[in-house]
Amino acid sequence: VDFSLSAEQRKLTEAAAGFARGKLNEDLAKREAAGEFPWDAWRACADFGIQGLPVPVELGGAGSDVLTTALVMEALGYGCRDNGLLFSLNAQMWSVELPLVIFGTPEQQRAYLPGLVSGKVIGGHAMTEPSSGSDALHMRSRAERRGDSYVLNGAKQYITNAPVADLLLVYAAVADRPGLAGLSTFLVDVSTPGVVVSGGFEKMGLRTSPMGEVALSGCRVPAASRLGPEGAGMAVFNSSMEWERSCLFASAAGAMRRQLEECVAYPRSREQFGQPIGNFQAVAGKLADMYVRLEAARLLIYRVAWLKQQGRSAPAEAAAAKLFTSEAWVRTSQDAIQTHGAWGYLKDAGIERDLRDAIASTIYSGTSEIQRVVLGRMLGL
Amino acid sequence: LSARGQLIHRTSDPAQRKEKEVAEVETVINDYISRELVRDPSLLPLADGTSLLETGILDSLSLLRLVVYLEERFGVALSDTDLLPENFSSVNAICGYIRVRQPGKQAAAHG
Repeated sequence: VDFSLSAEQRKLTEAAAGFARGKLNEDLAKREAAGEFPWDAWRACADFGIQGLPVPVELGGAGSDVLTTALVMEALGYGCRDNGLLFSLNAQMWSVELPLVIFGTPEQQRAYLPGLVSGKVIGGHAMTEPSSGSDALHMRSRAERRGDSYVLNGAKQYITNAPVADLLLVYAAVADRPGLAGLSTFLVDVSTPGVVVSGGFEKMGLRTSPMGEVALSGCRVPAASRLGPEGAGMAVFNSSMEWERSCLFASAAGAMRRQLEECVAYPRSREQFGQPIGNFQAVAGKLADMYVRLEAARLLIYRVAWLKQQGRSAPAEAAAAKLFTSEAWVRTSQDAIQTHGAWGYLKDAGIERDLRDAIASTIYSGTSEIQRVVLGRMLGL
Repeated sequence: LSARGQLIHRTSDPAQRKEKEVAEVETVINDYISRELVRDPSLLPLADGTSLLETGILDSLSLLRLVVYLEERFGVALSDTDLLPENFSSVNAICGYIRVRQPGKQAAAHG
């Protein structure tokens, strides 16, 4: 096992961290309080090449390998404090772009990927419904075939990026195919008649990442907008969730690294009882635990990235990486506040924001509970 | 030794060998599904033509487990685009799919 980074990876990650620090944190407190999507930062990320990282060169992207992409996203998480922006980026990359790369026809790829990569088009993944989330079999949205088109009816909720999206990946069951065999995916332009997006959910964290509801009422889309064959919905969903769980949390590992570095700096300068508080074992122990969580998260993420690069299925490894990293991030965010004491609890410090953002990571892309269910099933229980 | 190496018992007669190989792939996959994925004992013994989707033997999670097993047992990499209901609808369907995906088989299939 060779854990060293190549010269190119090192250069790329340093550039990404510097870019993130310099370009993505401006007015964050104000934007976060207002719940504003950072349009300028989104475009800057596209110009830097973030959205194109996992997209093959021939489709307009950078064609980076999976581990390099994860390393860059980790560097972005290290330099960028706007976890909402990073979440929106990751949501598009892993659950919109990758399904297009893997399942899309050349026409579909040409129609959407250049815009997604350039930042001119924003995508969202519309799976969750009022009565179903991870339990896709109970999805109520329906697709009825009528000649050369499908008519979509249904409702989606908690859809990341929906209020700013141009393109949605919509899951619906084809009317005459029961269960898993009917679950299908459609590329739906938000401007299509019959699509109504509403938003403005007031969220605890990730406030710069907009979340909305999507109503589909007699929405007619061409048959050519179906992603993969009829019944491929579960394959698309499993694929995108595995990619997301494998790679999205690299950004969280980056944030944990930043938090650790800041937490090491503070107790070295803050004095109580005539000495730096870092001399007290109770404080040092917290930082030691933060370090162990960071390193363990990185190892899980790097390994699953390597497995994906080999073309191997990695549902258990992806679930483990997602479960561990998200819960580790919550603990590390709590420890970061505790280490900074009263200052850490103040909004002005910007330290508590990470905790509010981190809690969401134990919910999105399948809750911690679902990850444990997945792991239990993979273990044969 | 690859999983496939353990699976295939060579005989001198190609026709006999082919028949045995086909039967053994079916047996291995049926045994695994019967042992690891069937939760309702009334579905046993499992016929190779039984619908795994309509009986609920395969759901989104058990499918993932089966995929990992097939990759390790038969030394194949299953593409995301191949995880379609028709490829996993029954033991027979899975066997047909695996035969096409096994190393060496694809080249043979494409001449």
